[in-house]
Amino acid sequence: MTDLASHFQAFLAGDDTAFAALYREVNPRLSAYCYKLAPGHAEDLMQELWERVIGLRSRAGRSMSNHAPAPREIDSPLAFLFRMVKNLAIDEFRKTKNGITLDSDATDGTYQSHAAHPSHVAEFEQSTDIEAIILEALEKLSAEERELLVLNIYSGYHFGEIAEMLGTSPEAIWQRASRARGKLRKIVIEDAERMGVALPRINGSVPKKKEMIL
Amino acid sequence: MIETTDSNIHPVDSLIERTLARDAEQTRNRFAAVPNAQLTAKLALSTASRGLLSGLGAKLALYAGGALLVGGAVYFIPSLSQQSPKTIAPAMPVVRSAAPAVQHSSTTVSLPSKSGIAVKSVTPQPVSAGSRPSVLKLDEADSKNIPHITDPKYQPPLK
Repeated sequence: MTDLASHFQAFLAGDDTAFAALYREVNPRLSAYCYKLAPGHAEDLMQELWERVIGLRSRAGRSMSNHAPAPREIDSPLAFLFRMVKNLAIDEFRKTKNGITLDSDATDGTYQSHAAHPSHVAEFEQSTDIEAIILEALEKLSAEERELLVLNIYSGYHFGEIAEMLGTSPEAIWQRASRARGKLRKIVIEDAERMGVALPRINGSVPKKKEMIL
Repeated sequence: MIETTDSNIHPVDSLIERTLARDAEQTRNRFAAVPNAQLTAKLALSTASRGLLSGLGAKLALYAGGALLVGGAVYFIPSLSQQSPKTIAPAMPVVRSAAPAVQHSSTTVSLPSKSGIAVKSVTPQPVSAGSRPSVLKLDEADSKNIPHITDPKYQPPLK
């Protein structure tokens, strides 16, 4: 049993210190995931998540409402928490209809840009041109590709953990991540060329302004 | 922490990964690793209510067990003594008084119960089994049957 699973079970059994450990381990990671997908709602979504997790303990031993499983039946707390926060995010955006599309069955399969959010605008203005291009390129990926890279890079989960969260094999995740990185690279190169921003050459050095690749 | 997917890393890839890693660190630092006051309060409330419910549950189980014990004893102890239950007869027999009846000519007319006569209260009196209701016979066609005053002390009123 992993530390996360043992903390989760200890929390359900009534150990409050286990909740603190669970929070410390999960909150920054899933918050980063929420923030990258829903910048204006990340804290609210995480608050809702933790309140529901606390509510789980009150209902421990009897079946939960709706379609959620009983606490004793949760095999993977990591996957459970991830699905819960993702569903909360989807519900939030279905209600507000103002923000990115998190549905994997979206018509174009891509996230809508959330660059208009004030916090994101500030980040964009502070970053250099190439950083802005890279961050913007991440949002041009499809929903699945973007989710994968965010979970890996921003939340810091390994491919094995992501496979557990998404209910697939680590090999499949590795292949999808490889394709996502290739697509991200292609978008960055195209956008940089279109905007006249310098990119590093094969030796890894970034050319100066007058050496810009056009 | 970032896992690479390709052994031949493109120079742009390393730039991308450095940029995203820096942004990821900034993003993660935005969020606390300690539950806020609201969550802490909810957690404490949950713990308290859980303890309260478990205490109430234990008390309820204790009382239910005691009640079952007492109920079982009450149920089983009379049957162990092999005594048949006694029939308790009322101490006083219930006597029903017959309704008064008026016999007109040769016909006996019983007063209906809904005759409109107001009866404030009727106290049942024990009567003998052979007693009959009082009967008043009146034959209006026979003038001889008009009652005469036979009291010698009777004096008619002065005119």
